[in-house]
Amino acid sequence: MSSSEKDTFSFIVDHGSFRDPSGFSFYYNNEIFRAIAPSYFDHFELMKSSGLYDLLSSHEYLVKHNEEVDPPFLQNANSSLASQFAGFKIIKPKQIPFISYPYEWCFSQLKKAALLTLTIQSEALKHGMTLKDASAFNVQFIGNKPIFIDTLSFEKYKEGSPWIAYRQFCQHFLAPLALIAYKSESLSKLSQVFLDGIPLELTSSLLTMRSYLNTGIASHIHVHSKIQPKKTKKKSSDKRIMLSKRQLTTILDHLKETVNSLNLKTKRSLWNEYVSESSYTKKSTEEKSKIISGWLQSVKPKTIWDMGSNTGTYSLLASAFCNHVIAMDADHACMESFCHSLTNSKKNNILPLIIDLANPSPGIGWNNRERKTLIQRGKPDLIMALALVHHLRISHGIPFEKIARSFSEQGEWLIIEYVPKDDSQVEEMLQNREDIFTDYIFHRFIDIFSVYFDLHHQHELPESKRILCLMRAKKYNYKIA
Amino acid sequence: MHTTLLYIDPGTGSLIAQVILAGAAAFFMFFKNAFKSFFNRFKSDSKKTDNEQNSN
Repeated sequence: MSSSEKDTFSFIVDHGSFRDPSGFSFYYNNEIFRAIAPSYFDHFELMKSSGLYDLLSSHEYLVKHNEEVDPPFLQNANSSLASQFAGFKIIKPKQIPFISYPYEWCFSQLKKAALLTLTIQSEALKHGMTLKDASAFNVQFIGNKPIFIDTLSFEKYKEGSPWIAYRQFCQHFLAPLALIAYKSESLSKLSQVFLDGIPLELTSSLLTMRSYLNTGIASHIHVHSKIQPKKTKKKSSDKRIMLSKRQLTTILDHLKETVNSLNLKTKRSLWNEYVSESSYTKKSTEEKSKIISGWLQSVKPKTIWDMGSNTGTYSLLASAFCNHVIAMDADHACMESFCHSLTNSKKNNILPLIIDLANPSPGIGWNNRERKTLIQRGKPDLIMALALVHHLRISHGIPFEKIARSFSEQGEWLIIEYVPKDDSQVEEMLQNREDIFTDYIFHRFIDIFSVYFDLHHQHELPESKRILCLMRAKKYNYKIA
Repeated sequence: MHTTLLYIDPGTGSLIAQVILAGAAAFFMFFKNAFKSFFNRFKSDSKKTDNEQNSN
């Protein structure tokens, strides 16, 4: 495939799909497609003829796709583009609303993705196939439900073969899950450093002695990390490692049991307490919900990013007025509690992600482009930044000008809540430090935001002094309904 | 004719580990299930006794 990224047909090769020679992904007019190489056709046909595709896609375990016999981008394509696709099959998978990465998932999301991968591998084995990779990046979330997106991950199972992707599964799923369960939830971010999963030797050295009591962790992490053949041995000696299907099934069952045995230690986080113990009165909370609902009804956004969502109260409210909500918060416990409440609520258009807004996910991998930055992955129609600005300005020291510019670049509309200095939250923040934030005054806030936004409405919440504002980025020449 | 497109390194150690751990996993799961069924029987026996007592 040519390295050209873009041509006149708005055809963009996805930078995250070049390792597997079975095919590659690309975008055409912002929709994702997959090109399948002739060398993979037999496996692809087997997946269909064995009934595996129908089974997995009907349960929504695997993303559904349509085969594109006469794809639109090849109808008027120049000869160089057409030649790049010569012999390839093109499929168009169901579009995923927002691409998220494993280092942005909370514990229960990672656990769901791990169990989905194991279930798919078990089903594949029953149909004479196996997963040739078990990367956590092959799983995405639609709302709170995981879905496997790599249609080209399946290959014919050869009797007696061990699972090629066993180590990858342990590094991508079991290692971060064990580290979160036994050590700290902040270790989930290690997956961002190690693109192909957290090395097992490192995981084993970081885990506590207590983890040895879990037979699954003792086997698949500790013992597994120590089994390394001596490099001096001749290659021929390890050529035929045989494992029966029954043995393989036992390993998969044991992995499932191990994943299920891991649980998050419930800790009360600072932000988790925020909802119940904040200075809002019942009246001001009701008023806040009423005002936000009214504004969302008039703006009619399709996608909303709730930045600093906390436990997701306003993401839930917003989800009734749009197609998709991405709830972002840096606090693992908040997101965990939100995921838990979403599982019970059956809402399927909210995706909670752990994102530190002062340090969002960077571009990583080859050329810093294999995994995209947060900002490259979508543009919301509306940003909600409720009770966030004081954290960005005071805790992180980000000037109003930078906050306003960033929001105006990312989204069209903005609902922002200004928290004054005499609010108990801000007073607490400034309690043990010098107040150098002389610009932290409402009229300065409005002046600076007005450089980038037009202020549509502002509303002071009763019994709280906090002020809600609805703004629209100036670069959009608009007509409001 | 199927060709295998092996593009990830499975790690020789990880292939050997599967052979060893398959035996260990079978052992652990056998004992866990035996342990569970023993206690479940014990539980269902006590439930039965409770029910019998209640019906009397």
